[in-house]
Amino acid sequence: MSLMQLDRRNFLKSVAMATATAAAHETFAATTNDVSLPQLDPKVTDPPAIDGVVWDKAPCRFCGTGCHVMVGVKNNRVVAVTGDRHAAVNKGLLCVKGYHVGSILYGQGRLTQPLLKTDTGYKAISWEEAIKVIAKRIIKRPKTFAIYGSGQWTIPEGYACQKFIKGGLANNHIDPNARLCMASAVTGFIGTYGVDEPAGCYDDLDAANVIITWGNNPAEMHPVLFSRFIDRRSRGEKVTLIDIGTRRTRTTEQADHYLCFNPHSDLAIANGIMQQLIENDTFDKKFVEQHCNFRYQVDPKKPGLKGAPSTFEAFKKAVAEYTPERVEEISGVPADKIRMLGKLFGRRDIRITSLWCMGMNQHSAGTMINNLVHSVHLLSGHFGRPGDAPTSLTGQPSACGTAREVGTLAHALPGGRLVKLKAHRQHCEDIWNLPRGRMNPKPGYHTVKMWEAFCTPTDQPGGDIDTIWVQVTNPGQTLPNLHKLFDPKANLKDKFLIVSDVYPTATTQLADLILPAALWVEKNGMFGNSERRTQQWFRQVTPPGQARDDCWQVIAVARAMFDMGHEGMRDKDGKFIFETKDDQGSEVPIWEWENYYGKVNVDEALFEEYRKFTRLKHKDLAPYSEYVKAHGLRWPVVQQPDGSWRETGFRFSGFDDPYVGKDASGKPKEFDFYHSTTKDGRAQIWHYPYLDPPEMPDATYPFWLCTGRVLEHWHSGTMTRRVPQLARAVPRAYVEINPDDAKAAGIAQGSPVKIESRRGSIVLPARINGRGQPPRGSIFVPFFDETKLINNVTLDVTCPISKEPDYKKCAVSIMPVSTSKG
Amino acid sequence: MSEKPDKFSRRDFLRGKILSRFVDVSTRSLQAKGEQIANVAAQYAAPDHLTEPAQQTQRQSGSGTFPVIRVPGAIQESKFLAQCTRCGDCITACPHHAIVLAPPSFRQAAGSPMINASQQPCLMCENFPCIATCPEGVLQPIDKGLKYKIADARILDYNCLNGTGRAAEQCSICIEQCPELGAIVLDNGMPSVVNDKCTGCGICHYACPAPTNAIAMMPLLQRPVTLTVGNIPHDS
Repeated sequence: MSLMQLDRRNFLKSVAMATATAAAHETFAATTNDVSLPQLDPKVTDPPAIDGVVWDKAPCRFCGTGCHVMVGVKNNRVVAVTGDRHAAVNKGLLCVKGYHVGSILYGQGRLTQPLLKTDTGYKAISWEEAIKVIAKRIIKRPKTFAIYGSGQWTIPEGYACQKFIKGGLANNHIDPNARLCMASAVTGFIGTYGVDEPAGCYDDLDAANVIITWGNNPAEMHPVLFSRFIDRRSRGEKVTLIDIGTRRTRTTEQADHYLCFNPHSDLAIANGIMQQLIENDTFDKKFVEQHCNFRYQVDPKKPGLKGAPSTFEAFKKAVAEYTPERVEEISGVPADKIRMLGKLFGRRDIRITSLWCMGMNQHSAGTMINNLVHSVHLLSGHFGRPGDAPTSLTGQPSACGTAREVGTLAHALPGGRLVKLKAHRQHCEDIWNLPRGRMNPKPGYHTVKMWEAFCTPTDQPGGDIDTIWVQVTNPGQTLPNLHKLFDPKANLKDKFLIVSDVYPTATTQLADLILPAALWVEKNGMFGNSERRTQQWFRQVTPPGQARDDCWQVIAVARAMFDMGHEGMRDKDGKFIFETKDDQGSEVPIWEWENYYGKVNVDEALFEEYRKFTRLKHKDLAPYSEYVKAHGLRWPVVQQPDGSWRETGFRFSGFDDPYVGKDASGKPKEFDFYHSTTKDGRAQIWHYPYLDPPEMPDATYPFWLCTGRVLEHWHSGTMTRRVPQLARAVPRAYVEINPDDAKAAGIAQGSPVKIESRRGSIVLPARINGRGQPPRGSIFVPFFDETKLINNVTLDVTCPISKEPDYKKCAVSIMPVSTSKG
Repeated sequence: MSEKPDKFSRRDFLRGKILSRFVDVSTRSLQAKGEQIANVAAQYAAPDHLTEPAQQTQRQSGSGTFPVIRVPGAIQESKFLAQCTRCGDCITACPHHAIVLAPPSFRQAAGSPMINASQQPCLMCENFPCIATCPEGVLQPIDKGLKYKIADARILDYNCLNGTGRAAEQCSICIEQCPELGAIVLDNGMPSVVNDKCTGCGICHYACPAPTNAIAMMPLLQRPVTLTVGNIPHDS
């Protein structure tokens, strides 16, 4: 309330601040012809001085956009949050979740002490006891233990888990929920460029003339990025938005063209564009000749990550059948619209950026559609110039930074290395100072397999996971086909589920040991967002009760095992694998909580060690201290002759990427795919045919079910549903139904509908003509509501390469439920 | 608070000042002087700010009645105050706990039944148990074919997420949640309330996710007010 006591000077300052930051309070922003934003005085402090409030930066806790917020703290409590106008990502803007991000710390029911399940319920135990329980359990059966994390792990947290399990236990059963989220994007990037993560960045959105959203709804899921290009229209620029999707969304409302396709037929659309480019002879011959190879799957039903070499002639022949008329037949998109896309991509005078997220990743042919969209851009030469980019967006704040870069996946090692390659394992063993040969060459279980093994009795074949430690995610709500992959745990007495979380969730309901965790600015952290931007923040308030950092929890367990004599927790000199020294060179016992935030910054120590891994794939990171100063830096971050650090916006492009090779004259080449799978500096253009998905609507289950998110809630809603403003805005899940389907089935607005698949059923209220409008034959359900688990219904079939499940399509029936029964 | 306990002018009233003081704590930062734009994007009050009925202002001077959002069917205010015995039957009857006692700061109205949509909006039950149970007749049923109106919703553009002139946020929560078809419409990107259709139930105010609530609930100065039903097309 001291806000009201502002003096005139501060008042003017804050007016200036509000102009740039608080979108909610802008009454005079760019609606007139004078479209430039009000000029800000760079000397103005941002945000405003308020009595006793200390401000510091942090990336938003929610999605993968990576907006920066300023967090205001008073008396060890977050009291205000504002968009950070100095941040390049969001320039002060936030979405509705971002405005309320501070409230996630103070929701109802924070877990504040370790809880152990007993026959009579949960018993509060001390941290010492909890750590001992876990350490003993792992020592007893180290090979059947698994860690399940997420893209919400901070970089040091993921790195510590990675080192603990792969380096310490010689066990590779670690996977993040990112497997359910962006695994197909990873395999798409690797299959095409030989190395993961987008070549472009958000700057593309400022330069593109055409933006194509592939099964993507950034208006709701990445609103700050969406506004970044939609706002350009209000500045008088022409930005054409083409929405290729399976239902009308808020993105569609702003789109110039809406192409509604039958689920899964995006494969045919991408092929159709390439057919047009060849038929019209408008593909970029020079780009293809100089920078591309052709690739195909020998047997499309048994695809591999790298496929087999092909030729232009074979490619031409393969895509020839995808004429606009044939594509219309498969996809339902009018042939003229396919021709329109073909023409657009054939133009050299415009820049085209493709965006996608879960629509292309949670796809039973996820790797293939990712490869095909990259191929469309490569074939047409719409690549590598600002505005010409195929860019995947991520849904989690550090899916890129932690899951992908630290490689907390069952098959991966830090910095793009692979478990199965001896040289890569040895590199890890050397950096970690482990005896050569300790690390296990066999990849661990990916998510679906891990939970399948956990839900199979231990004495039966395929039941060889008996303990899972879940951190920073909620598989009890987000795994597909929960009746198969999660619920059976309830009746398996010898399985042990450890859950570190901040609130009770669908997952803690079956937990044997619950550990209270610190959240967001209650701990130091680092995230890596969708555009390769690594961000850092400091702890700003202390966690409630006995809640402690996830990273500390892992280190404490490792130390307990070290003390119990476990060899894996020692390096080859007999020292603790997480040994951390202070400036004077003496070891700090960071496994004791009192010392965790003391003489050393554990995050910094872990990050500096991890940094050594990042050079191999040219994902170079700067020292920790650089990230403290910056609002994130996009890798590769390379040191300049003057000692400063330079980030890279456009990878593989000679004008920006320092790792692009030089031509004969000594100048950087225009493009260089220096991690090419064919080792010739070229990217791969793929052909892959359209094949039917594994489950399609039939007479019994005549509808397509698609699941997803809403703007107001994030992921499984454990945080956003505890923010009153967000929970009230969208209190419960619902099912979006086409009005004609509703009429035909006798379903009224708001009335209960039973949705049933071969795997399970759920009852939800109908929403007709809401913000999302599915076409006839399709329904949509958001997955945020833990009281209405749509994943009881979804299918657990995965992409054969990425192992990512398809949450976007399965066959269901819908039926009105009579309300008279109650 | 530096706010002076001055008299409420008509202008203040129209700017929602009365509400911000007495009904909705979350809009307290609304000031007639224009300081509202100095507000930071989101201010987090103590966690109980949503359950505390109203700020205690403890003013001694002044008398007379001022507008309160009453229960559906409430008769003219002075009669209501005179005849309501504060028996609490309507509070007990409300299945949604939407009816609360007016806090002491409401002077003569203190202890009388009212609706605080910040806590729980009126869901306009089909059979209105509050009215049916009222022994004193201060809640009066109306003719069939009419609808109760208990307040007017008013969009505060400068707080609305859509009021930025930019598309960072395209919010439609008030429209989505409004139970009266057509009572809130989108007008050039901004939500706007159609008074002839708004029943004043307060659901929009309750659901608004803006950092500073963008919907003020204006009590009715004269009662009863009813709306006609019938010209609203219902799809079923």
